[in-house]
Amino acid sequence: MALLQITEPGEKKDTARQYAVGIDLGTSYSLVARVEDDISEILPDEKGRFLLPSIVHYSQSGETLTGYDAKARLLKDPAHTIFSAKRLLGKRVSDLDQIAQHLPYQLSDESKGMLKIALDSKKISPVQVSAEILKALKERAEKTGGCSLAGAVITVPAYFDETQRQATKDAAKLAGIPVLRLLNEPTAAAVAYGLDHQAEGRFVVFDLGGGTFDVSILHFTQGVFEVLAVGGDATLGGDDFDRAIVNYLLSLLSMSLEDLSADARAELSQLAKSAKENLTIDGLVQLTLKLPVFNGFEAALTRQTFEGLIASHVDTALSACQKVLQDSGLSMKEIDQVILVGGSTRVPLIRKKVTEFFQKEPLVSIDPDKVVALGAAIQADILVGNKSGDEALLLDVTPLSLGIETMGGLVEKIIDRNTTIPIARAQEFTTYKDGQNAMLIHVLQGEREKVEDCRSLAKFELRDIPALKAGAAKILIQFQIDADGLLSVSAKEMTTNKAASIQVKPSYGLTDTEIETMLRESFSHGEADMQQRSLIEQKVAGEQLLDLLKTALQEDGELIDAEETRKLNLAMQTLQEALQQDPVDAIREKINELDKASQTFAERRMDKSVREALTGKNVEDI
Amino acid sequence: MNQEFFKKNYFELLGFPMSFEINQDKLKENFRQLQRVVHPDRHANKTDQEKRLAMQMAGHLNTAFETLTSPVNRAAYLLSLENMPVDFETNTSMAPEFLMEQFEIRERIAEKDTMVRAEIEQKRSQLILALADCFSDSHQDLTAAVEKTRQLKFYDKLLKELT
Repeated sequence: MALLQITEPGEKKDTARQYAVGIDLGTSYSLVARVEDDISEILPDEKGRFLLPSIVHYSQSGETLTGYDAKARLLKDPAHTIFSAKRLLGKRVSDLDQIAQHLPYQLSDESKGMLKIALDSKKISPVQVSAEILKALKERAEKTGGCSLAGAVITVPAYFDETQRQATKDAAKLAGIPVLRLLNEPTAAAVAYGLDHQAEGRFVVFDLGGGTFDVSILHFTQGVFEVLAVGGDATLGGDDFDRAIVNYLLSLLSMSLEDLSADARAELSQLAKSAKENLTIDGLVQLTLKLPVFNGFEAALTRQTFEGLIASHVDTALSACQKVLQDSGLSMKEIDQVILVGGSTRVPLIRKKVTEFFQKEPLVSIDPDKVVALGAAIQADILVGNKSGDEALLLDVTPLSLGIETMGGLVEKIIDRNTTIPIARAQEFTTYKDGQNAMLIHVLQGEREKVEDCRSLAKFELRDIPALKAGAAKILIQFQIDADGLLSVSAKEMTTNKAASIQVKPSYGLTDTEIETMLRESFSHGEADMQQRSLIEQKVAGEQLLDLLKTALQEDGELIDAEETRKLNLAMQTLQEALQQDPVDAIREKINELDKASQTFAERRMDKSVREALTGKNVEDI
Repeated sequence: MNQEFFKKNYFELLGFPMSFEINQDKLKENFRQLQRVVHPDRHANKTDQEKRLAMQMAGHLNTAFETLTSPVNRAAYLLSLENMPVDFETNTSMAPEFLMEQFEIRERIAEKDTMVRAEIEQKRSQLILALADCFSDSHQDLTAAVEKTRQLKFYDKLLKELT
């Protein structure tokens, strides 16, 4: 007979598993997956469909449709049906080259920051569109799991820059999803394969999605996935193949895009997409355009012609492979496996060229559409604490170099690309004029030497530098990249020790105020709902902190002396009381105080686990 | 930082004696072992304080590992621990013969001489061997080590530009 378990009052109640999912937020399709009984699985919708088209339709009355329902409006209402929003994240219209004119919906450049999408009188950010897709996935996950989400791992292309990563995190915030980690898509795919095959070795992940291309080289050994190098092109994908077909059709029609209505553009791009898909199986497809403007146009497209149209894109991808191989320091012989990821790797020419290039038959045993989400779910399950500590560890890298502007419009690199993260790196700079008392710090991302060829992330001013001779003041600038690949920058004047710590929010991203406003708008009762939600969040955070500290004190209480223990207990008690009665701001303040009070204890606990790791090793060595 | 972890030098941290010669396989192994303990992913469901600490420690460990992996950085670090700073940035005076040689190599690169890469790599390997000798107990010569470390930096830079 099974005995009923009774938890003691005040003891940690939730021994239950935490519910976490992996989300692949793709350009064309998105997916959500979870780990159940040690197996990672994609969650289908109620009709059994695994993919969610990354499309959002905005009706006149302000309602939104996502996924297949929105896809059904692509031809009927193209101006209000937003697809491929991922390609717009963190961009200005001028960054988009020719993509912009292929879109049937209107873009609007903002004087400051990221572009917006113009819907009649309203303007929305691509971040909001992504948030709608995330909301739909969250809903699906919560319906399937029967409980609310503790968090999610959301994947991003490895080649995404700071602004695009930040935009993705902002979208999750708008959707009300706690982000456990932003994970690079190829890394997620490698996790799914590596754990599936239990195989140590060096992998190349070739990931060609709808709008982005990544190639990563990873080494899996001793239970650690080390990313050796990443490369790619954040604006290359299956969409480009569609556009190549559209341009080909336009030349046959002797028409140009500017002459065509939104409806006509939408028909062209839909036809191109289905032609591309059919050509993965057939050698020939018949193309028919129905709108009157095309005068009953019909044509045939052979696979051979199609391959000619996309040849230059395929070459771009292969030269990125060459570069990343060089960056990794490996020779072709040292590569053990090549993994294909992303729907666009179904194109036969891609498979052929990749096989030729790496001289190896690529692995495709896991569905290339699903593998990223499956890997993300495995990582989410680990990060939320459902595993006990001996699972694989991921060591990822930063895809692009980071630096600051120096004299003459040049960029001084502070962190090189392919540096393992998290990382902190500092460099000293000085003034160039006598008595100079302020300094403009311009943060840039990219590989080129000149400021105008790199992506400007942020500018901030360091003031009140003591007036000294040119070159005498010493300013230490520190860059820190966290495990999500996100940057923060701080500056300190060394002679006065005056710190100007600045959280860098990319100037292309949304400001905190904008996000607040969007969040408020998304609640039916605005302010009151927001207040309610943040009170609940703070209470949960406070209780979690108390639980964690109680457990930690039981385990390692002897690491701090009586006085330190007394102070820590006092701070815990203060928070405990605040949780019963205090308003949200007071709770937040007490959480911060307790957080500070626990510093020494946390440090000693970490030192202890490091010592144990080394001692454990020495024993093995003997 | 008042923490044991941050007080150790990079060699102590990664479990090695202070020496220029280092077993790279063993270094990688110890690095992975330590990352498995300190990495933020291992502390994802801990307090914010512990998460922050994990990020700082993992970052510090990455820097330590990177420093000890690269011969030029390892040499420079070792010399700084011996109070013999290399000062790559400020001290740029080099022997005229060495600069002459660098000048010739740069000319050959400009002329797209295909043999030059292999030659640079060979010179670099020789320099690393000579450097190891300068650090050895029997022939210890730290002044020469400083000179050679600065020369090594030039070769590394050339190779980086060639890729």
